[in-house]
Amino acid sequence: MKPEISQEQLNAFIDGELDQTEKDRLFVALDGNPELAQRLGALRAVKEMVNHGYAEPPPAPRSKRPRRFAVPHYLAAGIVLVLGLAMGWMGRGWSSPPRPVQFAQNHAGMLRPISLAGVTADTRKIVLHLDSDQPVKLKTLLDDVDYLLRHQTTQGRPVQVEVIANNYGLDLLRADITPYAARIDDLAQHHANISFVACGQTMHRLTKEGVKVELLPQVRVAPTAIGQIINRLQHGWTYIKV
Amino acid sequence: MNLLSLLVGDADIRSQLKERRTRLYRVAYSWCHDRALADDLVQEALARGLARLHQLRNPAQLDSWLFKILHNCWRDCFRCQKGFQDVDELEDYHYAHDDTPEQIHSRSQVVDRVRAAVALLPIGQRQVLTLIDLEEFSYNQVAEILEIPVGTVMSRLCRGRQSLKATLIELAPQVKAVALRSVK
Repeated sequence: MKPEISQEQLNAFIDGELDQTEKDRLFVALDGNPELAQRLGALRAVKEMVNHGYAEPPPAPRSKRPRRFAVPHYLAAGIVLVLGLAMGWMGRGWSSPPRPVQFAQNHAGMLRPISLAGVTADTRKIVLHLDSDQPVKLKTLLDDVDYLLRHQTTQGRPVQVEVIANNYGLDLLRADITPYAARIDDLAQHHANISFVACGQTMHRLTKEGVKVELLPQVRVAPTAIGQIINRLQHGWTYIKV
Repeated sequence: MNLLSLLVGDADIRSQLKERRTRLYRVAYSWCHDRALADDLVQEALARGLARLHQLRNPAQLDSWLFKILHNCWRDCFRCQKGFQDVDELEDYHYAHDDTPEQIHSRSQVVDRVRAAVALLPIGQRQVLTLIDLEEFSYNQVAEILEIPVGTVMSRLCRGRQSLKATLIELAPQVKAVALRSVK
């Protein structure tokens, strides 16, 4: 009796899926059955042809067409744009160009590279930088100062806090505009380790624009806010932008 | 810590993942016969693979795991595409060969007919057939990749090969003679 070999078994044979006994059975059936051998050969050929057909698939296109699944480029472009705008906005206080003589004088100083390498950070010395006149920010800043000073008295760790205001932030320290004159006065009275610094460059600009700048009595003036901040950072202070 | 393990521990698997790109592309191309789509599918599969690398328990199963992801990507692609066809890309495909005319002539007959025949197979049969023939996966692995029973794998493969035999058999001369005799 001739054992029946199914098409599935022939396929399994050429794919190496048959176990030893099944293979034995197939070889026995193949012996003296050319028709079965032809069927097997044809299947084998089909398998090889499929392999040949895709041995060298056409190269993937490398066009500039946007990918269907990838992160959209406009998102990245948008982020870059926002970043650029933000940097431009923050740097707008620098817009008044120094006079040629001043520039030449400053230049020698500016050539000195600024590096914070080797500076040991000191979390007990804190610079708070304010450049906005948003009421929320003013309040946050004073709340932060309050918290820092209170915290140090309870923990017994002295904290040195300096508030540096430039640009619109200067409003906080202007006697005629600030809504917090009493509070600042109170802070300065009760704590020796807080100082308020105004940006001289901003004051200069305002004066040129015809605005009379009157500062609170507790406020000290630095030539530039940025210069003061860098100076503090180089002495290990911790910088916080409000 | 997670970041650190990504940088150090999985570096080996990550490089392996990249090496799979050509193989994934070959199979993806055999499924959709569209170079751009195949490239996108592979890209998406690799991206998903990288993102879910932590889910791969046994690194030895990287291959079948990746092809399973590729299969899922293709299924998702069907869900969102709905018979859309890009005419520009069809032209691109026809004119973008950079082989010499001699090379193309010597093999295009067989290769093109094989591809056309495979493209005509139902999707289920096409996937089973290419995974087994191109990637040499075992029936069990294919069943796992496509999430179908092994019996279905065998029957689909069987039907797929029968159809291909019917369409392609006259391409190979030695088989042609056999086929004629068997008819007699």
